[in-house]
Amino acid sequence: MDFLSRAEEIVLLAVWRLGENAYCVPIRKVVAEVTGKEWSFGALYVPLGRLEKKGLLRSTLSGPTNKRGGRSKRYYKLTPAGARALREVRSLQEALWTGVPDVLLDETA
Amino acid sequence: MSAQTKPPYVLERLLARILPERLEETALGDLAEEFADRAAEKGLTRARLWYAWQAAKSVASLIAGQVFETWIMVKTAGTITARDIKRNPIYSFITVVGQAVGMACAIVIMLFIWHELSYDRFHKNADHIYRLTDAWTSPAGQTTRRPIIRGDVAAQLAEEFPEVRQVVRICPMNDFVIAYGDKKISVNRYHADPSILDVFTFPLVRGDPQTALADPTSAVLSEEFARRLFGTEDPMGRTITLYGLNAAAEARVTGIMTDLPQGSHLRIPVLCPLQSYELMRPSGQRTHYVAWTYLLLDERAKPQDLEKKLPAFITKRLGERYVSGRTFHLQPLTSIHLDTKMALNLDRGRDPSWMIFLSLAAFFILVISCLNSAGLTMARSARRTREVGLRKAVGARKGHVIRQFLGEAMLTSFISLGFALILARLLLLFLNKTIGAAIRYNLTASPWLIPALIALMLLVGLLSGLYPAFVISSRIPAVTLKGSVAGPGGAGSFFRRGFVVVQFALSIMFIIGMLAAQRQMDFVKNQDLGFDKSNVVDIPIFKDAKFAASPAVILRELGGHPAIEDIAVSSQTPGSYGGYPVPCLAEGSAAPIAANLNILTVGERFFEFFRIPLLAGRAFSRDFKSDSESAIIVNESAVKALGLQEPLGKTVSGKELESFLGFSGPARIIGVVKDFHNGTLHEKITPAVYAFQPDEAHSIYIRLRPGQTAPGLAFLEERWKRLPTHLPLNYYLEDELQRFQYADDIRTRRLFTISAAIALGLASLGLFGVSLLTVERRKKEIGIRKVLGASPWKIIGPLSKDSFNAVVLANVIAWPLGYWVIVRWLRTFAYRAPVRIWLFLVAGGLALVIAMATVFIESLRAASANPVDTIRYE
Repeated sequence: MDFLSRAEEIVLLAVWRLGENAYCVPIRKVVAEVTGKEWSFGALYVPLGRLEKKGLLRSTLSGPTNKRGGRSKRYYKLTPAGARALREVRSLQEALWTGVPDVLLDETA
Repeated sequence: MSAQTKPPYVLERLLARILPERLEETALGDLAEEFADRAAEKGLTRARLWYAWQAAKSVASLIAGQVFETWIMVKTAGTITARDIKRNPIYSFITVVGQAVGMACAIVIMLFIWHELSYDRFHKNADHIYRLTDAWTSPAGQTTRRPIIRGDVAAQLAEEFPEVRQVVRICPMNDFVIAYGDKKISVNRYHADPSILDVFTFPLVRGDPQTALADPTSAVLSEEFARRLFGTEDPMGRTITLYGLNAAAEARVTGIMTDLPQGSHLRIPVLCPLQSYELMRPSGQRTHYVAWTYLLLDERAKPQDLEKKLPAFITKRLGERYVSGRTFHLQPLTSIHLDTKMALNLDRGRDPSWMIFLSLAAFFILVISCLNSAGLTMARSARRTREVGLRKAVGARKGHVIRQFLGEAMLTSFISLGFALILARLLLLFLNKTIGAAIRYNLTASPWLIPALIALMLLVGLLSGLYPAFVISSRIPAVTLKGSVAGPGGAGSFFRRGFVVVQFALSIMFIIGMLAAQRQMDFVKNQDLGFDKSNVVDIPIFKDAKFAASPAVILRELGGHPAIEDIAVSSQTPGSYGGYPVPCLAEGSAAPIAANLNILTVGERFFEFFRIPLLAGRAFSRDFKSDSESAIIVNESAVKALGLQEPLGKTVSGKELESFLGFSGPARIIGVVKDFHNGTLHEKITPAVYAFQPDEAHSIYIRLRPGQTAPGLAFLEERWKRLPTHLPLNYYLEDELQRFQYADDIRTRRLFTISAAIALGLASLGLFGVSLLTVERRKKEIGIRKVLGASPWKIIGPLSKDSFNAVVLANVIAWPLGYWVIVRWLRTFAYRAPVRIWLFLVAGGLALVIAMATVFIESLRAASANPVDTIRYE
């Protein structure tokens, strides 16, 4: 399996955290909260699209709402492969971090 | 949700346009939702700003992405096209040559039309100058439009109407002699009001435009004419002699005018004030001469309003009689050139039908060349199906393939345009010569020429790329990748054959036109005109009235040389002028019949000299004094028109007839001549009346003995110096004169010939390319046939069958069209060569022979190839 890019990882994580309510507007909010940076929608669509192509996300269109000017939402949901990918990222991270002394972290901080 | 919280409509539409389709729905929804949230939180204005910022970012990234993508596309298309050209030099050559020829024709026609439409626009006041014209309807209901107005009207107009800022009267004296020292040149001289230099843009290189024409004895020369008359001498201040009909006047050169641009209906080598014109007229006519009158109107004035006030004004000033049957009009300066229906125009003008003919010819040639390249691309695409299949297999969509093929077509048409620009130069020289124009090759002459060229390039690219692009792109990759090409019976081949049919149909049409025009011109040349003009030299002398009135001197001095068979002096050249129609009444018959007769005046021995047989009575003679006072000779048609049984001795009356001939009473018929063609063959032989005017000659006619032309002319040159005239010896051979009379028809024929040659050349070029490909695709088949014992003819037969059928079909289409075209043209002649079926057979046969020859060359090569080479590799 390919490694996820940073953006993909963050977006994937946000979708997972939002659960049933994962469409672009809340995703963007979560991402903004986590990273402390405004993300443009364009910056979200690209990783979302790529993740969907890789089979890590699945999307469905909901019914249109008035607030959106009569347009439908695209809801995203993790596929089993997506969940596996997240777990793998985490275990990889943990494996990398194991044994790094806290002192080093302080110095670099 | 209130309207307030909707995103700005314009921006939303913009985004909807540029967002990829897959994203449009959700992305716009997301943005709208976020917008509503922000509006609720931070206020509408900030939300709007945010939305605008999002939109701007999307546009920017979109443009960047598009530019990048396009660049990649262009680069690959370029590479592929370059490879394609290298791999198939012959096809590329055919495509480029075809397109370049088509485009060159279009460019030349664009230049031509621009040139014709831009006539007289170089004048700064072009939009405010009008020519005063009158239209006179005869009692018979015929309307003649003329641009000449009595000379005294102009000044009164300027007085009466404040919106008339300036008036210019122009009186031409065409082909009168101007002399400096021993040098005499016949030239068109224009006498005009001094305001001409103010109203029109005729800049002076020497002299002061304010005073150049102030003096009655001044003259302004064009640079070109000054060089002709003075050579390297400085012309300013020199005295020249201006000759008129009866008088001559001295003039001093007071200015030199820049040579005019080609697009001017006034071509003025010499400009003099009107006073010298008045001086040169017989004293009785000094005040009542007519002039070409131009008005400079105020910028705010409406010509229509002025036009309405004219009749009342002219009635008041000139009297009821002058105005009866007339209307007065203001013609914009810029429309004069194309108005060929006007009598007495100062330039030849250009019949707008020429432009239509040329545009159509160019358009057809362009169509042929586009069909050519489209057909070739189609045929060639057979070899590229694998490439396209592969592209589609790896994910290219239909649009991508279409764009690729269109891009290639554009690139090719761009290259062709380069060649076309060079070719157009040559073609323009040709056209100038053919139609007697002097159009310059100047692509920046008009601001729209360059955009038009780009449009032309795109058009050619589209026309030749669109159809193949769609056909090729819709092929199914699974089929094409397997290697089975759209076979000979596919949809592509149907259209390819259609292309060949259209191309040849157009070519055949042009050939039919060419042959018919050629036949008609031969007919004109060989038609028995009823008079004998062989070996006749025509020396016009009417520009010197005194000399023209002394035929005795002329006959004495020029006659008697062994090279000269006969000599006559007359005021009428047969075959050049149909005459002036007037109503007449014959008497002596049971009931007088009114008929329109054409009056012509002739000199002594006119009928004898031109060998026109007299059917009854006698010819004019000086021995009968009454001949020039009351006698007329009529032609057969006139006898019929008047309904006379015994014409000799009968009288013909008519007020106009009598006043025109200066007779004091009815005219008496003294002879009847056989009908002959007074005018050109465009006109019917009309009933004609000939009157005797022995002392008012137009020309000297000299019939040289056959084979004695050179010594005869040498004798004339030598004797001419002794004659009491200032005229230099200018002569025309009658054959030349005929060529001049039918100049337009000869041009039509030449244009048909050129168009036919280009069209046929292009069509066979295309056919050559297509047959080349057919042969190549069927190489193996041919090889196997040969191995199995087929003779070369057996092989050529099926190969050329398709083309044969196509050209035959083309004939079926072209014949009725061609028939329609030539019948329309021939209708301008009263006497025409009958349209024969062999014209069509020859045209079709010619096209067929050329098409078959083209196909045979290729098939023959295929048929003679060694089968070992063609089927070995499998």
